[in-house]
Formats: sequence, structure tokens, C-alpha cells
Amino acid sequence: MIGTVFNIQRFSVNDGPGIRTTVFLKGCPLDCIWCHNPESKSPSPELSFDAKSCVECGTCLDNCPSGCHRLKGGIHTIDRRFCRLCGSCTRDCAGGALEIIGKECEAADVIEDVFRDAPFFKNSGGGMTISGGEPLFQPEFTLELLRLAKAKEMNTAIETSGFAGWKCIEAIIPYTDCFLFDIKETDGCKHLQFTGAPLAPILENLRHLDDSGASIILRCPLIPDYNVRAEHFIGIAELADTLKNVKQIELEPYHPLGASKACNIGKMYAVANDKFTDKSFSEAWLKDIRKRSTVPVRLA
Amino acid sequence: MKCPEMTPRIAFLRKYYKENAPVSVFGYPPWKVQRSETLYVKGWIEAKDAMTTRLRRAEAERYVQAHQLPVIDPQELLVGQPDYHPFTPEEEAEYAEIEKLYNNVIPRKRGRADHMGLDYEKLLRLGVCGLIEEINAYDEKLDLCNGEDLEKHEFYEGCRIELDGLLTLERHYAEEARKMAESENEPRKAELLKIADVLDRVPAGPAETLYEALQSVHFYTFSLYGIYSAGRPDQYLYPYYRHDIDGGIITDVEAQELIDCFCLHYMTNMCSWAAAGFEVGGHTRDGACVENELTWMFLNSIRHTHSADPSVGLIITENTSEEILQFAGEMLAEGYTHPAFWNDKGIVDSMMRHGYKIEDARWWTHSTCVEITPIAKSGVSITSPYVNTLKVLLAAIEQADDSITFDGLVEAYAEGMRRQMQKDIYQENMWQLERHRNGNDPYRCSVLTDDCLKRGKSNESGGAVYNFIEPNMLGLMNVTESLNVIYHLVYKEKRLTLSDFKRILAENYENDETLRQYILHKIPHFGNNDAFSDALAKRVADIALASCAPLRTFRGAEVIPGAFSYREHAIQGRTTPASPDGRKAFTPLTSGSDPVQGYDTSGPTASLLSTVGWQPTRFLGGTAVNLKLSKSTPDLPSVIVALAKTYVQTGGSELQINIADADMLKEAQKNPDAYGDLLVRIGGYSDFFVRIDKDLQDEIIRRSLM
Repeated sequence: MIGTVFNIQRFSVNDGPGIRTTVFLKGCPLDCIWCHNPESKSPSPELSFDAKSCVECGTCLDNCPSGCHRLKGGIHTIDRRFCRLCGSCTRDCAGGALEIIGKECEAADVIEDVFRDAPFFKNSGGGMTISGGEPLFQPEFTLELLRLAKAKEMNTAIETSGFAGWKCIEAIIPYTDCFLFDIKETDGCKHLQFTGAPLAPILENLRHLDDSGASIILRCPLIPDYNVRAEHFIGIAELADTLKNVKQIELEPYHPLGASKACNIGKMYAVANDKFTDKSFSEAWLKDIRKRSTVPVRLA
Repeated sequence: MKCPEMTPRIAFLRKYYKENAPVSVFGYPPWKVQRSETLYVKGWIEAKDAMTTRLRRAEAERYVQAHQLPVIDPQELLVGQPDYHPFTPEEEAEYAEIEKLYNNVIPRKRGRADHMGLDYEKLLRLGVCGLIEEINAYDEKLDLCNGEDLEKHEFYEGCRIELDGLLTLERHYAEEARKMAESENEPRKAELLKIADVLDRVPAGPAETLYEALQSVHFYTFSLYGIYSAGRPDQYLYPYYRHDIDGGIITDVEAQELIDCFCLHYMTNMCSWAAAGFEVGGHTRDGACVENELTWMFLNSIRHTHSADPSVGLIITENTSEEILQFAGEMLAEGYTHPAFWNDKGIVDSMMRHGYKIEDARWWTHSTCVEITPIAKSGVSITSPYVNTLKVLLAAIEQADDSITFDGLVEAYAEGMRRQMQKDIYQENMWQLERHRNGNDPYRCSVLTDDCLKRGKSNESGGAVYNFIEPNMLGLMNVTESLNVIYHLVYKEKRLTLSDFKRILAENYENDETLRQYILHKIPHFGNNDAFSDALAKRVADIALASCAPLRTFRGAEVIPGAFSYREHAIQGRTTPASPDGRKAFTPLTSGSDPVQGYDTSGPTASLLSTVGWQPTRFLGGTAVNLKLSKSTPDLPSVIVALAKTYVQTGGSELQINIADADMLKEAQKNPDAYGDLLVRIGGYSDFFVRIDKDLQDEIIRRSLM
């Protein structure tokens, strides 16, 4: 079973309990303004260029069959209109600045890769997490990864927006130990505005998931000037308290690393904020939500 | 176990020692240049009529013991320090003359001395007088008209002379304590009288209480002016602790305080860079598991001493409790640089493959940084010598021509290693010959090493049970990575020839920065669990071991290398030209036993699995694997424990943790006075960052940025 993966990250300590390996799948049906993995939105491979790493060797200019690369006055530009994603420029890129993001992988190979850290998983209560993008945008591939992981007795987790057909979610429940479920906005209008997707079907999936007895952690990105406000905090708390199986609320304060990634793939980034969230703010939000909910809350 | 808090006395002593005990003098460890050398020479001169040269040196040792000024600092409970008071101008002038004699007239020290764990259990059981009785019993059976017996007698006589000196020193300290008591008020007066009381009994006699036991061990050791491991204190001290607690003589708070006093003496008695210490946990000689109140309290002392030394190890066995591991993990998460974690089974099994008996293997110690030696039975010579394996590879590359295959190049390197080790061990063996004839290590060291007394031979003459030589291989991972890069560039991608590469190295990459960047970014490096480079590392490690395997020492023992760096990666790096792994000329080699700095970019799990792949437990000469973790890692103590346990279970040997904060290190470089307490973990040991040479500091900062 083939799927498109853009990263396999070992020693992930922020994607579920214990020491984990996170498999990032490419492609997402949402279009969140603040996405910190903009290279994961498109399901197709993309060319990424990290200008900071460019050593101006000019090799890509020579290798590119379409003449996309220009190096003038120490500034390296790429005309993406002509890019065929052939990858020739990435092969000899001395600085490692050019990369094709997204690769087709065989599920069994991914699992074999992940399984190398099994001894660490065992000693830490860790395992495999599937993330992205949106894993359920490749539902059969995700199901296969989870099935194979379970066959090797690995603990499994999935990070999902919940925006998928219920049948896709239902299929993976028997193979998933932990659902890291995103709650990006509790106001329906704003949800559509900020993520491009309606809230209602996501909440419906969440309730079904809860009824099934699955173990759930709510993951809440907090983006100043967008969703940081009392009503949303109240919404998160109410949601957690009305559901039966929410084990934890994890708050993800905004960080600006998405902007440079967007730039690297030639896309715009809508959020102007270029600062990491100050610790005092994160702690204030943590305190606030803790007051409102009986479910444990922590900062991711 | 809930461990006692630190007492105000310990806070005071720590500050006092830090401000007064010298860090280094003239760039050398203090005891080498202080009064002990002066006294030794004076004693040597005075003993010119000693019957033999070896007895002359025993007399010189006695002179040092008998004439050194007792040093008792405020609030101390355990006493025994070299006299570090600054030289007067007269003493400076005298020392200038003495130094000439010491280096030119008295036989030069050759080869590795001390760096071992002594039989403290025997010391505590018999006391010095009991040891003298044992010596006398052996001596009485000798026929002084028989040549062999006469040599043994000479050894016994030398031991007696030195031990007599030690007893004199003990008396002087007791007298000094009483004298000080006369002009003190309570409670210090009573404390000083107690010190004198304890010194009336130990180390001359057997110990009865924990106070006496700690004082005895410390007193015997400090006066050796060398680097000695304290071995397994949670084992040999335990009966005394139990005796005191059961008899209501001592509370846990007092026991902890005494232990802290003992550990704080590493500041006065050793310098930075000595890396002396001990380990706790593990097994008894009989195979019982050890985890008792003293195991906890010696670990707890790390928080109280908050220093580079002692170097504390926690031994992990299949029975080590989660609680004690978590306790260790919490300390490391807070930024303490101890304990290091050790794989008991891996080390013990490895020792037995080299002929150690199991009861001796169980009592291994890391003699300073990380080298494995047997407590109470060690004639093992560690880091003897440091071998710059990268230079061996560079020489092999230099001599190869473009027709050589990759395997041919690896074999040329292996041949270079064989020749290098033959040369190095020849030198070590000549030094061992010299030590046998003219060595001037204290006989007191042999007194507490089996089977010296039984055989009537000093350690230097082969009296110890185990006599391995452990050279130390520097730069094995530079070699691995260099071969890896050559394979990819020259043989697989055919990007350049070996001659091209040689020219580039000779030019220090100056005209080929693009290629160097390519090496840095595009070659799959060792340390990322990549199958090819992992196998290559094993091959390189096998070559290192094979180069030593056929060799034998002067005393007939095997040669078993280590693979860590101490500070030598920076020192040796200064004279090592550019290497194929992308390393620029005259920059540090790899530190510890780690992959090339910055090349393991797939996280600690991949890095550890890569290291486990070359089977580090085979390197009994010591390995040091340094993991940097970010302070912001969630559940950091549990993560540390999980990494340590897994590393041990998958075949690792030693693991040390450093919680990285590159900003703080840079600040500390600019503003050292504000960061006097900042500790870092280096290639096998700890040190205060602000005391380290600048190029080593820069290397540590670079590493922590990666």
C-alpha cells in the first residue's frame, strides 16, 4: 500500500505519550491560516528551497533542465512556473537547501523504519504517531500503517483535524490507542473563516469518537488575534467536560516557524505575527482554561 | 527513599573549598607542584643511606607523610588535605631548585600510575596496624639468604616504612585538632576533639562507626597524592552505617552530612580534570543486588556538592528500581552533570571474556573518567597511551594511490593500526619495565591491592591479580565518517579520485568549500542509524580491537582498548590536519565516543542505536556517550530514564546526559564570574565550564548548538 509521506521524525516527545516516531503524511483538506506545516497542505510533492542554507555554488543552475534557478547578485531565485519537480536541482545541492518534499512510500517499509525505535517505545510508553497534513486524507494508507503497527505490538496515536468521513475514523478506532484531536475554533463562523472547513461535521465526528470509548486528547492551537478569546476558551472547556473520554487538553501556543516554511515552498503566509508566544501569555491561557475545565490541561 | 536535606555546614564547606582550594597551578594538577614534591626530594636526599633504591623511595614517602602540615579547615568533620597555602618567595626559590632535581636526578615517572580502586574493605576491617601485622606474618616466613625471598622482604620493608609514615601523619593531624580545640568555643571545640578522637582510632585501627570508616578511607587516600576511585562505597560502608543507625548513634541527616563531607573533599584533594569518583548500585561480589540507603545518599550528595567531582555513576542492572532511576533522571533534568549510567551486565560479561573471575568482574569501577578496572586487584594501566587513530587513517590515505579499492583502503588503515599499536605497546612495556625497576608509586597503593602482599611484589612488579593495558582510541568515529565519505564520493558517486581528495585535504578545503558543504549536508552520516555507516563503524571498531588482540604486556596480560576522549579530542585535534569527514585542519576530533559533532541529526534514539551497533562494551578501556537534551523536553526525567534503560538493554556501556543551553554557555564565556557554578559534561567527565580552555569551550558550545 503506497502513500505520500513527507517526514518520519524519530524521538518525537510532543506528539503523544513517551518517546515516539511521528510519520507525517502529505495532504490536508483544511487550509488553516496559521498552519505550521504549510508544506503538508498539498498532497503532491513540492520543491522546497531554504535560502538560509544556500551556499551559492550554482550547481542547481547547471542541473535544472527547465532553467528555473537564477543566481544574481548573491540572490538565488526560483521561477516555479516552469518547475517540473524532476528533482535534478536537489541532487547536488551542496548546502542541502533544495529538497523535494513528499515521497511515495510503501506502508510496510515505513513501519520497518519506525519499528527500529521499538526498544525506546517499550521503555517510555511511546510508539508511532501518524500526523501530517491530515492522515485521514489518505485513509487506506493510514489504516494500513496502524494495522501493521499493531501487528508489531506498537502503541499508536493519530493527530487529526477530525475533518473526514466518519467511516474512515471508525475503521481506525480498533488500531489506535490515542486520538490527538484538533480543536481550532469553537465558533462555527470563525472556524470556516480561519480553516476553510465547517465545524459541525468535526464536532459530530468527535462525539461519535467519544461514544466509541476511544481515548482522546484535545489539541488546541492558540493564535493571538485569531482565536485567543474567552468564548473560545469556554468552548474548549465545555467540549472537554461534556465528553466522556477526553483525557487531556493540550494547548499549542502560536510559533512563527510556519512562515519560513511557507516561503520555502513559494507560498504566502497569512499570519503577520513573527514572534514566539511569550511564556507569560501561554501560562495565563493555561491558568484560564484550567479554571474552567475538570479535565487536566497542559502546554504542548 | 526520602533523602535528607543539605545542612548549612555543607553549604559553607562547598563555598569555602571553591574559593580556597586551587583549581590548577601552572596548568598542572596541584599536587604535582605543591609541597609534596619538595618534601619527597628532601626525603630522598636525607635517605641517601637507605639499603636499596626502592627503600630509599619508601623513606622519601615516609618523609612526605611525616613532614606535611596538617590542614584542618573551618567546620570540617572529615580531615585530610594537601597543604595548598601559597608558596612564600623563599619556598618558590627552593622549589625552583627542587624541580630540577625532581625532573633530572630522581627516576622519572613512567607510564600510568594510580587510576584504580583500592581495597577499602580490607583497610576498614584491619586498620593500618592490622595491615602491618599481616605484612609481618608474610615477612617472618622468608629466608633472607634466598634471593627471591630477599626481594619480597625488601617490598614488605618498604610497605612498613610507608605505613609508619602514614601513622605519623595521622598522629600529627590528631595533635593539630586538639591544639585548635584549645582556642575554640563550642560547638567547634567538641567537633575538633571528636576529630582527634576519631584519628586516634583510624586509620591505624579497624573502623567501627560510619564516621570512622569515612575518615579512614579518606585519610589513607588523600595522602597518596594520586587519583583513586572510591569504588563501591554503598557496599563497604554499609555495615558501619547499619551499626550506627541500629545503635542509635547517628541519624540519616548526620550520615548524609558525613557523606557530603567525604564527597566535598574531591574539591580539595583533586583538581579539575581528575574525574575521580565512584559508582553505586550494581552487585556484590557474590552476585546480590545492591540498592540501599547509602546508594540513595551518595546519589543525593550530587545535589549537595553541586560540583564537577566526584564523578558519580549509577549502575543499571535488571533489578535497579524505577524510583532510583527517576531520582537520577530528576537530577540530570535540573542540570546536574551526574550521575552517569552504566550497563552492569554488558561490562561484566565483557570482563569475563577476558578472563576476569565473575566475583572480580562484578566489582568493576570506572577508575577515573570511564575506564574499567577491578577494585582491590588492579594493576591495570589506563589510557596507555592515547592513540590518534585519525592520523593513522590520514597516513594510510597519503600512501594509497588511485588504484586502491575501498576494501584495500580499509585494510591499509588496519595495517597502520597494527603497526601503531605495536609501537605504542612497545613503549608502554618499556615503561612498565622501568616502573618495575625504578617506579616511585607509593607502596601503600600495593598494600591495598591483591595479590601484592601475598606475592611479596609491588603493583609495578606484577603483584596485582589483573594487569591489562588499556590504550585509548581517539577519533574512531572520525575514521568511520572519513571512510564513509570516501566511499560515497570516490567509490559510489565517483565524484572525485583519491588523489583529488588528497589535494583538497592538503589545502584544508580552502578551494573546495562547496565540496565540504556537500559532505556536511548530502552524505548520510554515521549516527543516524544508517545501515552502511553503522556497519562501517563496527568494522572500524573491530579493527581497533584486533590491532590490540595479539599483543601482550610486560606482565603477560592482554591489551584492551577504550574509545573515549577525555580532553584529548581538543588537544590532539590541534595537530591533526583536515580529514575526509569534512573536518577542517587543527580542529577538535570527535568527543567522547560519539558520532562526529553535529552529524547525528536524527535524534538521540538513532544516535544511540548507531553507537550500540559497534558494541561499545567490548572497549573496557572505557567509552563515554554524551547525550544532549533540551531543557524544554516534556517529562524530561522520564525521557532520560527511558533513554538510559534502552541504551543499556540494547548493549550500550556508559551514558552521560547534558541538558543543553547554548545561550547560557555563550553568556558564561562572556561573563565567567556570573557562571562559576555552571557544570558541563565533556568526553567522559565533568567540569565547571568557566574553568575550561577556550577552544574546548568553543567546541562544547558548537556541539550544543547542533
